[in-house]
Amino acid sequence: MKKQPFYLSPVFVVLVMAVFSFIALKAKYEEIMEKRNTIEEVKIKLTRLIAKEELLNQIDPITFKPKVELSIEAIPSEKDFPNFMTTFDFLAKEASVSVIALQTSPGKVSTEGAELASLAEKSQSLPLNIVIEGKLTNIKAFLNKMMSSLPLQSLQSFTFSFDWKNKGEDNLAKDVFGKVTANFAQAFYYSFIPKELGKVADPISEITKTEEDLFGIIAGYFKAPKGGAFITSGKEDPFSKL
Amino acid sequence: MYNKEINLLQEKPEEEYTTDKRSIKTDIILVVAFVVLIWGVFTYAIILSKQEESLNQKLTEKEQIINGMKEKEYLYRTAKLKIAAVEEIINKRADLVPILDFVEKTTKLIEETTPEGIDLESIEVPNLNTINIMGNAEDSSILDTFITLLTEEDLKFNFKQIKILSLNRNKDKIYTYNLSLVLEEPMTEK
Repeated sequence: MKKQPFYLSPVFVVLVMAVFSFIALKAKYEEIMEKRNTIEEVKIKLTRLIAKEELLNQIDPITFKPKVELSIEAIPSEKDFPNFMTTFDFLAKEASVSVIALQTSPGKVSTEGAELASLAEKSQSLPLNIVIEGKLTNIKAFLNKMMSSLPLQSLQSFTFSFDWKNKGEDNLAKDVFGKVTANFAQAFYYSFIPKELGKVADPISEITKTEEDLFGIIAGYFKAPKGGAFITSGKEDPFSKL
Repeated sequence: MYNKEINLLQEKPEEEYTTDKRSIKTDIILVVAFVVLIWGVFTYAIILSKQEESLNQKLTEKEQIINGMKEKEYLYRTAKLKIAAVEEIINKRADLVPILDFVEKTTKLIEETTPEGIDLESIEVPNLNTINIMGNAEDSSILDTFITLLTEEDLKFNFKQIKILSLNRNKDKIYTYNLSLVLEEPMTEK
């Protein structure tokens, strides 16, 4: 019988190598995959940080600070009730309208209560019901001024009542439309500012062009002069400062 | 015995001998490929380690730089938070210009067009989609005229519906009306 020489057949070699590769390279392969994932994550983080750094580098604190102050004036970080009242009182006097009634439900007066209920909520409102009386033209002037003044406010609903029967009988009713009583449900706004910045890698949402334009718009809004010293309400004892 | 083996080799056909040589060559190639593969994998792992190390170093540097700009970040975040809220409020709040125009025009309409037969007690805006008008009319035909005038007048609003919520006749034979004007679009600023 003819004796066959011993040579590794290619198929056998491939099989042996596959087994060896699997055993020897499995651990290395897993390590490589893990490293690749880590590198991808680090790259994403790094891209975010570079973008954040570029954005922050563009900010000049000296020119940017007035914008921040303006935005805080538009939406205070706490229920600045005295400021809201001063603004309202000033506008009423300016427009020559009489305040008949004013009602509010501020809830928790403490600033601590000003935390937003959810992330989707950008601000919270402080409701205010007001009854004013005057000539329609004055009420119109009052409302127009109110809508273009800081802190920002909005009308939720309102009723104009006309006193036609007594038209011309008193000074107020000498107006074409007679004496008008306006009942407003309006709101002032506030938004809590987080005390911490969060993680370094947390991205910052950029101020959009529209928002940038808004700075210009609210810069032209009317600001009532600050009234007398008010005692801030809240957790601290207001009488301790007296 | 040696002679026998020599004979065996000598007896091997040329074709078989060539095939054997080719098998050895293939085996060598495969072994070399295997070695190259292992070398490649290990080298790749080393390259990745170095890349990871370098990226981590860059990351730490950037983190330190950003940590040094905390004040700027705080200013920026505050402004962003507030101005986003401002945008939301301004977009949703009522646009007073057309509403006040409406109030003025409606009162003028009552004053000038139908002064005797109808009056206006109140104009109510309960929400940004509805305007309610309440008052008294001497008869229902005057109210019809008033409604027609309301739709003809350029009031800057498109009404989806004009509903008579109530029309009551009191003992003095005067009709008390309550109209509801439903707008096609809410009267927001944007």
